Amino acid sequence: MTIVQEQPQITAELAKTITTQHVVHAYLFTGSNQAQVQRVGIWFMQALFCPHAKEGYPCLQCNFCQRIQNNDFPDVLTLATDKKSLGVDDIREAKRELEQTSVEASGRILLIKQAEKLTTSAANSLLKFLEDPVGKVTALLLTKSVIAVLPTIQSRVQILSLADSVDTNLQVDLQEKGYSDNDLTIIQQAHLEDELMANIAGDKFKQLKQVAQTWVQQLAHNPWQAFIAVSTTILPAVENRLQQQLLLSLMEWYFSQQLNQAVDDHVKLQWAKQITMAFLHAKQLWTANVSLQNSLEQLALQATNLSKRG
Amino acid sequence: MAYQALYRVWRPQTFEDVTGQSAITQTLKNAVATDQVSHAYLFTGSRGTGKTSCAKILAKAVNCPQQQAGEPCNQCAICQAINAGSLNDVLEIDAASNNGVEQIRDIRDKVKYAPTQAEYKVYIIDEVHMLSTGAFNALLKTLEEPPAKVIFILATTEPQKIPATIISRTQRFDFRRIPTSDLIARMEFILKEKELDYDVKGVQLIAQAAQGGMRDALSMLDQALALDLQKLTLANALQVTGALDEQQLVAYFQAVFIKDAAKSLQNLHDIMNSGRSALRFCDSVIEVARDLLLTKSDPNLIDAAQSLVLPETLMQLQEQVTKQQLYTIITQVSQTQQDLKNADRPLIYLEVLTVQLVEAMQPAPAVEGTDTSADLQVKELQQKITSLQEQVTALQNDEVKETKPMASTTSKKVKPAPKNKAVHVDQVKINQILQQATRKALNQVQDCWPDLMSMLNVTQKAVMKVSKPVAASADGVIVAFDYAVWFERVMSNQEMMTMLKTNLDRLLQNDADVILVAAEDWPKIRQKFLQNHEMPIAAPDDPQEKQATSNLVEQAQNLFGTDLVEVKHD
Amino acid sequence: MKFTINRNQFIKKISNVQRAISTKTTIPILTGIKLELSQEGLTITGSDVDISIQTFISVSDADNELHIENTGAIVLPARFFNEIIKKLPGEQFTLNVVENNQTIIKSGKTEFTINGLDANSYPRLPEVESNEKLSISAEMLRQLVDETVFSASKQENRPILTGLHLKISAEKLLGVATDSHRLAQRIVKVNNQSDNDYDIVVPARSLKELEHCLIEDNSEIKISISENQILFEFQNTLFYSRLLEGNYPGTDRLIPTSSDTQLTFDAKSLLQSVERASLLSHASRNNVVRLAIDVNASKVTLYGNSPEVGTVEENLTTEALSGADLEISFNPDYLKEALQAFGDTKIEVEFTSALHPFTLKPSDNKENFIQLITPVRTF
Repeated sequence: MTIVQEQPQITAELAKTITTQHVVHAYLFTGSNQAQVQRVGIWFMQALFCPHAKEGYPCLQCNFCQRIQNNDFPDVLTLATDKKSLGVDDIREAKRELEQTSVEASGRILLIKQAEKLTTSAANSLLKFLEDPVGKVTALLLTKSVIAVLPTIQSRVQILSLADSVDTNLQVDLQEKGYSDNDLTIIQQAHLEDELMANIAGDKFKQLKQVAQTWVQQLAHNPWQAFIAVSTTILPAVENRLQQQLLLSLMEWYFSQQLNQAVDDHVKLQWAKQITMAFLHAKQLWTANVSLQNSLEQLALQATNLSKRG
Repeated sequence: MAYQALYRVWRPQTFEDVTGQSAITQTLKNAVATDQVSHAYLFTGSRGTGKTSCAKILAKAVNCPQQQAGEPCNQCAICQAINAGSLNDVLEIDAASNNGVEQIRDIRDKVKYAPTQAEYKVYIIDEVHMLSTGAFNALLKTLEEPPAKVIFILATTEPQKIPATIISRTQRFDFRRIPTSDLIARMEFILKEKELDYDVKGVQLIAQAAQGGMRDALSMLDQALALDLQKLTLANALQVTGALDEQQLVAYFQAVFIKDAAKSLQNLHDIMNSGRSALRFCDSVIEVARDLLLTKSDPNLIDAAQSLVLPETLMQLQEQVTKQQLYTIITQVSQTQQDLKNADRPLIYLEVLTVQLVEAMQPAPAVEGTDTSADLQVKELQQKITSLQEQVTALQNDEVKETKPMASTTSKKVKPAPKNKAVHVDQVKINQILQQATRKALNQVQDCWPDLMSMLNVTQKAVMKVSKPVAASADGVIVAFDYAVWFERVMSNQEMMTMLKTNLDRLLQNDADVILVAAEDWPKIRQKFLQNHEMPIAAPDDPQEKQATSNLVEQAQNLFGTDLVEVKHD
Repeated sequence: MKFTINRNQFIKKISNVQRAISTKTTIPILTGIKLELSQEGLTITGSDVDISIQTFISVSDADNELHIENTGAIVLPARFFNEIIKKLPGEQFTLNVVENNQTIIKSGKTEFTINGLDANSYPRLPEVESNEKLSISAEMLRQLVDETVFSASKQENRPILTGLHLKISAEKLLGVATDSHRLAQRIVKVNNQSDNDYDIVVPARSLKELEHCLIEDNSEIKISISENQILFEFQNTLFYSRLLEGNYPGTDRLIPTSSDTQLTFDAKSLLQSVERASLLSHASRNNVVRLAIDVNASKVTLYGNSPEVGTVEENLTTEALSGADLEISFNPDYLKEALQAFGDTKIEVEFTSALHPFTLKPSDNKENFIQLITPVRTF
């Protein structure tokens, strides 16, 4: 399925701004699925530059479209990083380049992937550029979280949110890797698409899902057992940080389920709320580089306290 | 790509055009007209309130040869060159990309060059809070000795990051958030100029969502107009602001107020599934809670706060909540907003929030009086105090009993107590020191304490970090440790003890012993000493003890210095 | 595609193209060099987006020993390709693109197989209409660049000032560079058969690269200008550069039309004096020298000082002196660089006041070459 089919509304809106010549100089696209956000970004660039575009929709076949797709187009400057942040030097170099005229197309595009990675100074040094670019430049920022982008940047760009939709490309890919339909449903509902870009086999996903589910239940019924399970069951199951990330996201999903199912029982709800808050805290610790073992064991200890009181 | 965003097209070009900052623009206009322009300005205020625009207008006004009543003409070559950003004498510097000392020094060096075309050289330094400390210092030098005919305009959204030394050398203007009514007026003006039809409610909605920022407002207006070129509709305004529609919001609040967790969560999911952002959701909840609070306090406040009047259905909800509950809602939502910054998926945070809000609606447990919680707290505290008092007296009695035998047994050893395997406080030695202790001696020790610390190696320093001298005489120094563990460790470390003593003696040029105590024990030890001396029962082998005066305060003053004597309940 | 070619000849031809290829590009295919073979010959292209250089090796030139078997196009990783060709053993080599962009390079007993990239992914060089109506001698172009580009700004703060402003009207090409504290303007003659006027800003870096390509070249260079690009054509080579966007400051009004004090110097001896004075000014934080002109006493004195080191004072030899007395301070480095650009000639220096920029012009070419220096305020 094409991105236009997956995201009919946003693509239609963008096509309209092109045909009515209302394309502004700075956009921010956001959505929970990074891969999809990127595809919309590429589609928009193709739409802006495709010489065969019809009513704002690019042909996707021509040499221009192909090269934009493959990041081989000289008038698109892409800023992306595998590191933790995008720094001010990256921006400086990009700005220098963007002061020059375009090579092939009628204008130029600055594409910033994962704009949440911009450091404060990098973001600040973009402000002037985002407000008053020289020449025909369109800035396109992509992010999974608008909140993580500096407010002064937000006010300079038009923010477009992707609707939640099924990422069919991912689904096909995952089916090939042996994911069951049930797994796919969970992935979609829990928004695990970003975690799964990391190439995790279907069996591994099943295992992690099982581990997460069991542990969340253990935490409710027997926190001490859950404490022990951290080192006996969980640690052997995860091989790297990406899998840890997936595991925590799966747990988050089960905690959310538990919370939603407890609504009719006041005591249960109280507990579910507290344990979920404790979990979110543990997850933040993990994000701040506390080890998975420490984060989860601490959570289990907290659970023993909660159950004593509850 | 020829389209220009509204906020760029409608950027104000004269002071008159600037929305919502009349006090500032009037002042600046007068300054220009009467030729009393300062050499440095600091413009602060949140985003989109007109800081950079005013800076540029000021740059034009001071340089425009046809300036009238402080306004630039925008027609002459100078004005137009400044508008095009091509006048060499007006420099816009983005402090975020030029935040180092080097760049600011360069400004300092170049400031000396006379202006080439204009009368004044104007440096507009935007995002000035991004400068490094070194850069600020370099800038300070220039602001201290401003060359003639040079104006610095510093602009920032974060004045709290600007050093006081900089602020004190500038004229500071705080740009306030633009009132919603002014935002509406400006948008309506632009829409009329563009001959576009609009839905008044849509304009209001955007103004509300812009939170006092003109750029935000025009950005959203632009986006809404891109959806429909002919007319600003309410639906499109709703979509671009991501505002929750009334019904959704009312349903959510109703469910929360009747404490129906299931329904509240269901409503939350409905709202989120309709594509609203978590942030906007939180904003809306806070806005409604605030307006309800205002209505409950005094309905007139709503107008004063420039808020949109709540729909009837929401207004009726005010009967169902107390002010206290509204405060709780606001606090909890803002907490969640903070958490959302680090969230991968916002939904779960909102779910937890919703459950919390439902709980906040539960009547407080143990409903007795009106101010139950405060009452309870007071009672609890009173109880605590009584039990603490009991403990203290018990302890004191114990000690008095205990010291007598201890003092008499240890008093046989005249030389300083050797370090035993069991760490214990050498009360005799302490008593001796306290006998002789003077404030002056303590001051001396305190003065050389940092020097002593610098003689230690890293580990030793780390250990001693939690210690401080608390009393001193010519032949001894008492050092208290914050943590008993460290105190014991140092006590049993002979090498370190020797090291402390020899070095301290070298610094003080005497032969003082070093006695360690745990800080938590120190008040007891001190008290014990004072008590012992009030009723002279203790160690008779110390002749000087007889000189002990019965006046506790006098002795205490002698010991600890007058400046320290103060009754404290700890 | 398949061809055989003389190896040394090939290395010579691609050396210019190599200049344009950068290793640190965000566009992967630009680390490659593009070879395109037609019946007429081989076209080689390199680009870093800012500049693109293309050269043509003709089949009709016997020195090239170019034998074409079949035509086609390929992009090869530039760094490896370059090294490989240099180290091949034979006089000639054969390059053959087989399936999947695999490329076999054979010379003597050596055979390399390299993974190439699809030439369709390579950026299209801009279509600059080559009307062959605008041309300039290489000598003139080099002079223009040498005598102006040093005044361009080296800072990114105002990117437009990092370029050379070129204005062409009729047979006149005017080049200006300024960093807003000094300015250099040069007018040279071009052959312009068109009716068009042009007004563009070319990045200084591009012009410096162009100069390198033009060393030892005295041919006539054709210039074509489009909205986004400028193209220089010389000896089977095309040199493209992007332009800088934005409004170049109006410099006409900066240049004073009248003056109150006029001096004439020998540029070379003035340069030596300034170099001496700057020995001390460099040691001080300010880096400023002071020039005192006493017209009645016919005395012009240059002072330099450093609070720590000491002072220098030199009476300058003037060729002529007229107008009002004046004391003026300025950055000696600006004057040094300006004088270096003049070379060995007589120059006229004209002042209006201590706060206004002063101008320098060569006596024999007053109309076409002018430099401007902004004084430093010392009070």
